[in-house]
Amino acid sequence: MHCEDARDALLEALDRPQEDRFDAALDAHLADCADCRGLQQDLTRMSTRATVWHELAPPAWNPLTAPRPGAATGDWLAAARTWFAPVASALALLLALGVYWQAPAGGAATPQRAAPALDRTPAADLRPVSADGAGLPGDDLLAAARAERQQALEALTALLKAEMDRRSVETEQSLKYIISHQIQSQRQLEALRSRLADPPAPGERL
Amino acid sequence: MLGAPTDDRLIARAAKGSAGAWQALVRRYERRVYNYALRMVGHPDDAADLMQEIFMGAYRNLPGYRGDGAFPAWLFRIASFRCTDYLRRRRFQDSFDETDGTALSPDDPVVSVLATHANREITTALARLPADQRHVLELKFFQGFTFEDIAGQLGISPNTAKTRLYAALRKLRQDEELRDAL
Repeated sequence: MHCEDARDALLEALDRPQEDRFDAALDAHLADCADCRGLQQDLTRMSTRATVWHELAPPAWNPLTAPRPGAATGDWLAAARTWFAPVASALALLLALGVYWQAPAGGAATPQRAAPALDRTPAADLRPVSADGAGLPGDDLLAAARAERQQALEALTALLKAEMDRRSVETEQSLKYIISHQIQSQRQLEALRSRLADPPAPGERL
Repeated sequence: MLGAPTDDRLIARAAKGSAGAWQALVRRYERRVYNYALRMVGHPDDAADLMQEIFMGAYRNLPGYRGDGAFPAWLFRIASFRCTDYLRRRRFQDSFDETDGTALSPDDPVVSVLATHANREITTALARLPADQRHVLELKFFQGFTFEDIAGQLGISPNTAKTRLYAALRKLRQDEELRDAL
């Protein structure tokens, strides 16, 4: 017999009368197993304890007029302690739900919602349209402003182009001047060199 | 000569509104229920309160009693339920009081109410057990129910009842070994 079987047998024997508890296999196991013998001793000790309990008489009471629990002693503090946790939990839950949903009629008393996320819908989709599908009066102003801005942009572009052209011309003229000046200086230098190579006769003017 | 009326007969009359039958039934079991409560909660005043709750619960549930002659098992099913509820409530209150709420101090004046040394020793030992193990130990050794009955009363399987009893006995033995070592 294994210890587990012996344990079951010892516990199941408690359901039977004392005279029906003999089990040869169990006895043989108990003779060899200290653990199971310990359980048997625990069971015997507990059974003995149960028999030595001195029964006490209950205090006098009238079962026909027994008050409700909690109301008997008028112990409101005990009742409050009993109900405190569930009531507080329920109130906290209601408060949390109220804050979460924020009744629209709450007005200034209710906290403001968080800023909405950026609207990434294309602007064309959000353009207001009148009931008949035509554009609203604000469209004309918008178109005029758009045209005015376009004109300003074109004027600025022309100005920039003219400035660039002007500067290009100036640059070209400057280069021409520099080059012509260089050519002229070169010619004067060659003329001077030729004169030095061919000195004039005495009395000849330079 | 007529003997004492059976439990089922008293219950049938009590269910029809007979105050005398109900009172007779209570007197028949109040001592047993009070001592059960005393061992389970460890305090005479609490035991008296719990006893009254158990009988009030039984009275309210009388129409549900099937009358199959197993009134003690039915009564202690209600007692186990009420006791579990009582211990849960007291544990919550004790969390405010910052006291253990289970074991009696030897200096506690109510200890003298637990008349004998044996009663004190048993109450103190049971108080060290978790409530579910205490229930099984009480119902098995002090009330003499079978594991099948205990399983029905506590809403568990017979094997679970055995396991809890085994665990309770081991814990009691360990506590005693520790106490002897000290």
